[in-house]
Amino acid sequence: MLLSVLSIFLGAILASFVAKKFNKSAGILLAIIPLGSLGYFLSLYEKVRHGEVLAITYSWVDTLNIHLSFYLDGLSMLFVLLILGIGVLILVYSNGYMLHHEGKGKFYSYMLLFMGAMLGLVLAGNLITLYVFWELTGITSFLLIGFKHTEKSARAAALQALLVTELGGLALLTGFIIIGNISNSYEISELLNQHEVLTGHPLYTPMLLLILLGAFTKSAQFPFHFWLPSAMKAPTPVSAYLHSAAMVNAGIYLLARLNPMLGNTDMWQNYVTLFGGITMLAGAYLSLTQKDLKAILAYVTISALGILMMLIGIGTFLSVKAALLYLVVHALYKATLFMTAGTIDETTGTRNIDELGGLWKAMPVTMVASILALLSMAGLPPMLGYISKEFIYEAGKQAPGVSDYVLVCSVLANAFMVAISIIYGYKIFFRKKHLNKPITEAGATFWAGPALLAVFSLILALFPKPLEPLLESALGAVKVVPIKVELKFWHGFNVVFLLSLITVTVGVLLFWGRKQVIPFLEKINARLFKIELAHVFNKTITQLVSLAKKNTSFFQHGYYRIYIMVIFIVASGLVWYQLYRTWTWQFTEGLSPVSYYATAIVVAICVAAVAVAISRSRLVAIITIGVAGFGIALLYMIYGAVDLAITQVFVEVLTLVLFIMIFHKLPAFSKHLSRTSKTRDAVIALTVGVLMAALVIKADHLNLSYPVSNYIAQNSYEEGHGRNIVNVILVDFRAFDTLGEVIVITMASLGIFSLLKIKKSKTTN
Amino acid sequence: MEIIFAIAIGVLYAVSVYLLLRRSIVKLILGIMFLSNATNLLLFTSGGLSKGKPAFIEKGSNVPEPGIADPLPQALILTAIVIGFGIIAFTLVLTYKYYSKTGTEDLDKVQETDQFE
Amino acid sequence: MNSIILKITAKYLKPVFIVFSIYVLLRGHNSPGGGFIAGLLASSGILFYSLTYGSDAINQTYLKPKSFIILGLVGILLSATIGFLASKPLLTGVWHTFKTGLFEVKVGTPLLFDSGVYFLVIGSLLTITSSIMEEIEWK
Repeated sequence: MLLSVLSIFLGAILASFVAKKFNKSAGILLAIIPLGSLGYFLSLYEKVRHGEVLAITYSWVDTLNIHLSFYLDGLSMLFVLLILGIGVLILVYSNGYMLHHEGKGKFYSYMLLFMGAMLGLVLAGNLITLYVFWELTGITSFLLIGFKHTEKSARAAALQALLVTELGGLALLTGFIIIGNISNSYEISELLNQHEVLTGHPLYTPMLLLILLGAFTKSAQFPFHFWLPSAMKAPTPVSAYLHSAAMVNAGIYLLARLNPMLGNTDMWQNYVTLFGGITMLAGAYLSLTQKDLKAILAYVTISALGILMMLIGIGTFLSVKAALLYLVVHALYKATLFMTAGTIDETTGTRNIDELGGLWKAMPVTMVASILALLSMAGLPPMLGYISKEFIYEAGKQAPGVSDYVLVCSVLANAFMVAISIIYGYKIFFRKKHLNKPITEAGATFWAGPALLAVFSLILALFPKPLEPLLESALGAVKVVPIKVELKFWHGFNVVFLLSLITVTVGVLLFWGRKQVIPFLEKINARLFKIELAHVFNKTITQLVSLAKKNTSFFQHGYYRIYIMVIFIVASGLVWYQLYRTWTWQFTEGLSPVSYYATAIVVAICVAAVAVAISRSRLVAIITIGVAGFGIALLYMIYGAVDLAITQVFVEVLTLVLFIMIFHKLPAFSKHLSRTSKTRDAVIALTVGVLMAALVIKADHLNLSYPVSNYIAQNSYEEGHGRNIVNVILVDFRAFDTLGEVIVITMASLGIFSLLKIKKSKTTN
Repeated sequence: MEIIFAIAIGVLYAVSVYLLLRRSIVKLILGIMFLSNATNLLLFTSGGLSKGKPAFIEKGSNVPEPGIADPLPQALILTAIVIGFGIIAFTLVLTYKYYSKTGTEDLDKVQETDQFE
Repeated sequence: MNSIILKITAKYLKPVFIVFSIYVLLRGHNSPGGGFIAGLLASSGILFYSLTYGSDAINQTYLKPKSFIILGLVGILLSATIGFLASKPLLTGVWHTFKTGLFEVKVGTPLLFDSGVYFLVIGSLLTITSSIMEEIEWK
C-alpha cells in the first residue's frame, strides 16, 4: 500500500520529464500510474469486501506512538476507488485540456502529488499520518489553485484556500493530540473500541469542536464555504478533481472515519447536522443566481457537501448508507459536469451561462454526457442520483429528533438543485442563441472522460448490484457492524415518493418562473449579502498583517542602542530582584589575602577603563585599552594562570596591531549624544557594573556541588599523560570544546576573508 | 582580594555597557573588548584565587599539590580569549566595510538592512 | 617600512619565532605552552616580518594561510579518528611510549590534536591579517 502511494509521488517527480519528452500524450502516459494503482486496489477488493482489514505499520516515532501506518477497509476502499478512478479520467482529460497551456510538466506534477496525498489521507491508519497527508493535500491544492500564478486573482484564491484550510488543519491537529492524550494511541484500529473513553472524557467538547472545525473548513461548510467558489480560478481539470473526488471529500472522509470513535452523541448529531443543513440549503440557493458555469457547479458542490455532512451527522444506518451512496453519485456527476464545462469553455471561449446556447447540435457527445449528469444531480430517474435521493429522504424521515429540520432543508435544497439542473441544461444546449463563432465537438480526450463517467452512472443505476458489496463494506467500517445494502428504484408509494414528487414539482415551477424568480433573488441577495464572507476574511487578514507590521516596527525599530539598553535593563532588573530575595552576605570567610601589588594593578586597570570610556581620541582609547589588557594578563600571571597570561599578552599585541592597521581608515569619534543621554547611559552602566560585582562576591560563597576540576586535576597525569593540567583539559578532557573553538576562529577568519574579497571581485568586474 | 577583583569586574562591565550604548561604531568595538575581558576575569575569579600556585603537576608526582589554581576556568578562558580575538577582528573588519560603504559612523542611521547596495 | 635595522631584525627573528613556537608547542603538555600559545607566537613572528616587508610576504612564507588551515584540520581529524578506530569514543586520547636507551618518549593523539590547533591558529590569524593588509594596501 505504501508502494502504491509512493508510486504516485514518483510519478509526480517524473511528470515534468514525461511532459517534456512526450508533449502530446503526457496526460495519457501519466494516467497509467494511477491506473496501475487502481488495478492493485481492485485486486484487494475481494478481501476487503468481506470485512477484512488490511493494515501495515512502519515504525516512525515510537516514543510518541506515531507510526506510518496504513489501513484499508471498506470505507477507505470506496474513497480509494473514487480518487484513483476519477483521477485517471481527469488526467486523460487534462491531456486534451492542457495541450496548449504553459507549464504542463508542473501541472501534472502537482496533480499527481495531490492524488498521492489524497490517497495517503484515506489510507492512513494513524491520526498523525492522516494529518500529514491532510496538510499535504492543502499545500498541493494551494499550488493547483494558484497554478495560473501570473493572475492576481488566482494567487489570492490560492492563498485564501490555503489559509482557511490551514486554520482548520491546525485545529484538527490539536484535536488529534487531545485524542492521543486521552487514549494514549493514534492508531485508528486501536481507537475504534475506545468510543466510551473518548466521548465520556471532559475534554470531549473542545476536542470535537476542533476536529469539526478542521472537517468543516476542508469540506467548505458554512461559514467557511467561500474558498471553494474562489478556487475555481484553477484550471478546470483541477476543479473537476477537487470538487468531485478529492480535497473537499477529505472532511467527509474524516468524519465518517471518526464516527465510530466520536459519533453517536447529541453534540455530534446537533452540530454536524445543523451546519450540514445550512450549507446544503445555502449552496443550492446561491447556485441559482450564479452566471459562471464553474461558479454554479461550485455552489452545487457546497450544497452536496452539506448533504453529506448532514447525513453523517444524523449517524443512523440509513443516513450513513445514503451518504456513502450520495458520495459516489456526486463524484460521478460533478466530475462529468466540470469536465464538460471546461470543454465548453475551451471551445466557445466563455463560461457565462447567459452567452451560451444551442450547443446540442454542435457538441452531441458533450451534451449527452452533461444531460445524464444533470439528471443525476437533479435526482431524477433513471440515474443513480434518483436512488440516492430516495435514500436521503428515507434517512431524513427516520432521523431521530431532527427529522423535520432535515426533511424541510433537503426538500428545498433538492428543489433548487432540480431547478438549477434544468436551467443549466436548457440554457447551454437547447436555448436558441446565436454564437459568434462556429462550434465543433472537441477532441476525444475531451469527451471520453465525461462520457464514460455519465454512462457509468447510468449503468450503475440500472444494475446497481455490483455497488452493493462496496457500500456494505464501507458502511460496515463506519458503523462497525455488518449491514446489508440493497439498491433499487421502486420503493412503492410512500412518503418518500411523495417528497420526491414535491421536489420535482417545485423545481420545475422554479424553472418555469425563472424570469421572475431569479432577478428577484438577485435583488434579495444584493441586499442580503452586502457583506461577503470572503471579503470579511480578506479584510481580517490584511488587518492582521498591518497589525503585525505595526508591532514589528514598534519592537524592531532599528535603533541598535535601544535594543541593547532594553536587554541590559531587563536582565539587570531580573537579577537584582533575585539577589534581593536571597540577601545573605558574608565578607569574611574563605577570601584570599589582599595583595598590594595586585591591588595596584587592579587600580591601573580601572583607571585605564574609565579613561577609555571618556576619551575623545581614538589613539588614546586604543592604547589605554591595551594597558587594561596587559594589566589583566599580569593578574592572571600572579594568580597562577601562566598559559592564560601568555595568551592574553599575544592577543593584546595582535589586537593592537590590527587596530593600528585599520585605524586611519576608521572615523574619528564624534559627539552624537547629549549630556542627558550620557547621564542616563552612565546610570544604566553603573547598575550593571554594581550588579556584576555583587554577583561575583555572591558567587564566591556558593559551592553548589563538587567541582569537576578536582577529578581532572587528579587524573591529568595518570590518564592524560601531561603535567600542564590546563593543556590536558584543552587537548584531551575537553578536546571537543577546543575543536568547536578552533572552528569558530577559522570561521571568523574566513568571514573576514570573504568580506574583503567580495568587494574586490565586484570592483574588477 | 576577591572583593577588589569584584570591584574591578564591576568597573569593566560598567565601562563596556557605557561604550556599547554609544552611537559611534568604533566605541561599540571597544565595548565588546571590555565585555569579553570582564567576562574572562569574572570566570577566573569564580574559580577561586590562589596566588602563585599554577595548575601543574610537579615532576616526580602523579597528582597535583593541594591548593593549586583551578585549571578548568583557565582552560575555558583560554579558548574564550582566542575566540574573543576572532570576534574583535571580525567586528573590526565589518565596521571598516560598513564605514567605507556608508560613510557614517552613526549607528542610528542604520535602521534597515536593505538601505545600501 | 624602510628602516634597515627593522628589516634585518625581522628577517632573522622570523625563524627564531618559528623554532621557538615549535618548542613551545611540544613542551606544552607538561609546561606552559601548547597549541594556542605556539600558534600565536608563530603568527606574531610572521606578522612582524610581513609588517616590514609588505603584505605579499605573508603569502610567501612557508605555506599559504589557507594551507595552514587545511593542515590543521587534517591534524585534528586524524587525531579524532585514531581514537575512534581503536573503538573508543571520538577524540579519545591514544598514547604510545617509545623507549630508546636513555630516552623515553611518549607520543599520543592529543599531541597531534595540539599540532592541529597550532596550524589552525596560524592559518586563521594569517588569513585575517593578510586580508586586511591587502585591503589597506600595506607596503
